[in-house]
Amino acid sequence: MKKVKHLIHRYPRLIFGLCMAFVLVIVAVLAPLLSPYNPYDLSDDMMVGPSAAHWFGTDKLGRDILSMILYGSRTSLIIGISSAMIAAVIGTIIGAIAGYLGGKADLILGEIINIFMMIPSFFLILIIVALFGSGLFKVMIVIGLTSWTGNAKIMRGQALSLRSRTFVKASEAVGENRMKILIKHIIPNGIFPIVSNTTMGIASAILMESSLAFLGLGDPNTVSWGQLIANGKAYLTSGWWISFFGGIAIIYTVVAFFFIGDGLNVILNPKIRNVTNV
Amino acid sequence: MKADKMQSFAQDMAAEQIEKAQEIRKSDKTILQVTSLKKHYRQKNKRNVLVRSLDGVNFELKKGECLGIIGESGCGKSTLGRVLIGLEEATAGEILIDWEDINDLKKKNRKELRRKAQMVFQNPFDTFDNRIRIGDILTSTLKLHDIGKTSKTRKQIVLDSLKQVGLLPEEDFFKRYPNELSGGQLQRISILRSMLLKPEFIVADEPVSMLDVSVRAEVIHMLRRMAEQENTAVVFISHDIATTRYIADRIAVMYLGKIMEMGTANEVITSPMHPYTKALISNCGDADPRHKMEPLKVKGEPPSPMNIPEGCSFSDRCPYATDRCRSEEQTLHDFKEDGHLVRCRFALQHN
Ligand SMILES: Nc1ncnc2c1ncn2[C@@H]1O[C@H](COP(=O)(O)OP(=O)(O)O)[C@@H](O)[C@H]1O
Ligand SMILES: [Mg+2]
Repeated sequence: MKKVKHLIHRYPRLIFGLCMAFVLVIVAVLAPLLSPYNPYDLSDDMMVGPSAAHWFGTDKLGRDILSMILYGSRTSLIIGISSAMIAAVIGTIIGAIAGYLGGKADLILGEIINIFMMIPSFFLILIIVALFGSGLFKVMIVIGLTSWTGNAKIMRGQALSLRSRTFVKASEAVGENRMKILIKHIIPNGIFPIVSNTTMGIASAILMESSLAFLGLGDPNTVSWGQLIANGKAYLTSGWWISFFGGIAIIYTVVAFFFIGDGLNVILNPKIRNVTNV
Repeated sequence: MKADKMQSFAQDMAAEQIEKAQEIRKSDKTILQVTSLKKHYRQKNKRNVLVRSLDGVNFELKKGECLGIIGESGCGKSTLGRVLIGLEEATAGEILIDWEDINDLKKKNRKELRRKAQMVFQNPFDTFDNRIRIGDILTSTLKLHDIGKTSKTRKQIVLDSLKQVGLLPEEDFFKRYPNELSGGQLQRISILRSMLLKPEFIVADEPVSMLDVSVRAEVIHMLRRMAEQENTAVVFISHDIATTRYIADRIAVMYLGKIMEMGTANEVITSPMHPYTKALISNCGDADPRHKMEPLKVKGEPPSPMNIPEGCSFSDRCPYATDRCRSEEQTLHDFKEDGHLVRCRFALQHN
């Protein structure tokens, strides 16, 4: 008990964020059990405000908002986690190669990173979705492919400093090849900031998915929070609850992952830790 | 008690040294030949400034011999080490390992080069990846070089060698992580890892400078014993003259990327001929109390490889420098025709 208290006192944001995310995961897993209605079912109770039968109200087709939000957590989590993972893998590999090999490889990869950073990623996503259509899987990949540059920059910096460490030189001296050193030493020793950045990446991927859905570019066949907000847009005055609860759900999720990422950052970066402790 | 042990240890070493010197003359096989070796760097921010870290180094190393390299910090000792084992490519000059050019060897078979040329680094605390167990570090080195057929035999080889260098209980060390060990233990494992490959020569770059004084002799002794066992030549880099004299058969004195003087360890330390060597030894009190000399005062700034003087590179600090020294370079010359090489035209006059 005392230990738990100490942990909370020491890393309040991380613990708080983890608890919030835990609740979210439980909700996503148990959505079918927790939902009072099937979110795809239409009913005659259209545009009903929050009430005992429909805690969060219904939309204009009579679908239960609470059930849609519970099911929507699955979409958000799947998209958020998968695209953040894609971004983590691409960013880590490109950054590690650029930083460790240096020279021409660094020059070329550095330019590629810069190009991807300069393109407004939201614009790129719009073009890709417009060209190839949308679907859960495509949205996931597109968000991943456009958000790896931050990770690449971080990993490049890590590799750059690791490459002058003695244990890397010693591995070279003993005969390990560069590919193996990259996988065995550079990436594992430099991965920690990527972990915290990726958690924050989950938050922004969820936001991105919601924005796409809001613009009608999400997967039309799955329930998602962004879609919910977009549907409620026309009824903001007459049926505020349609958009409102979806918005709250997005804010809750983004805050949860932001706290985790920020908390991890504080643990891993002693400089920040000292500042926040003051 | 400890001092006693050290002294008898020193006498042992002296006797061994003579024996070994004779043995080398018998075998006389050159395994490393370095000719006009240069390594120049461009500075990161000031690209037009040339750093001449190595500026024409020549020497050869016989099988099983130990060459000590001494000199102030910044004179290019570590650079020499890195270039010698092929971690960095030389700007100019030639390195022959077993009469094969190092660049050809590297292109043809990088692992073979690694088996021939090994290095022990200065900082044992950073030599190993702290996430990997000692046992895995050592067995993976064996696996990399196809030593030992099965993982079982490799483990046995590693356990035996841990035992041999006194890291007991060996099963325990096998399972430990690098950050659980002391500097002396880590450096012994670093030496062990290099020696597992039975190299032709091993570069030891200030291997004990970061260790507790109390464990230095032990580590040096281990390096020496293992090198002798495998008849491995050693390039022993240090700025500690006393230690170098202990272990080295010959000593080369470096200054601004050049060898200023080279000869048998005793000759160089007890009767140095170059003014720089004299200054280096006389200013280092602990070298040998029996041969206390008048400290030789050296004027001027500490040396910088970005701005090497014309002529003799030591001419701006040398008390005997003449106009000729400042304009004309002197080569390493065997004045007494006894193998004691000096890069100073007045080497005989000032003795
Ligand atoms: N990678 C590098 N880039 C630029 N200058 C370097 C580099 N490595 C070494 N030097 C310079 O070369 C000189 C010799 O360095 P070093 O070989 O480390 O000397 P020592 O080991 O004798 O102290 C120093 O002046 C150092 O600044
Ligand atoms: Mg050095």
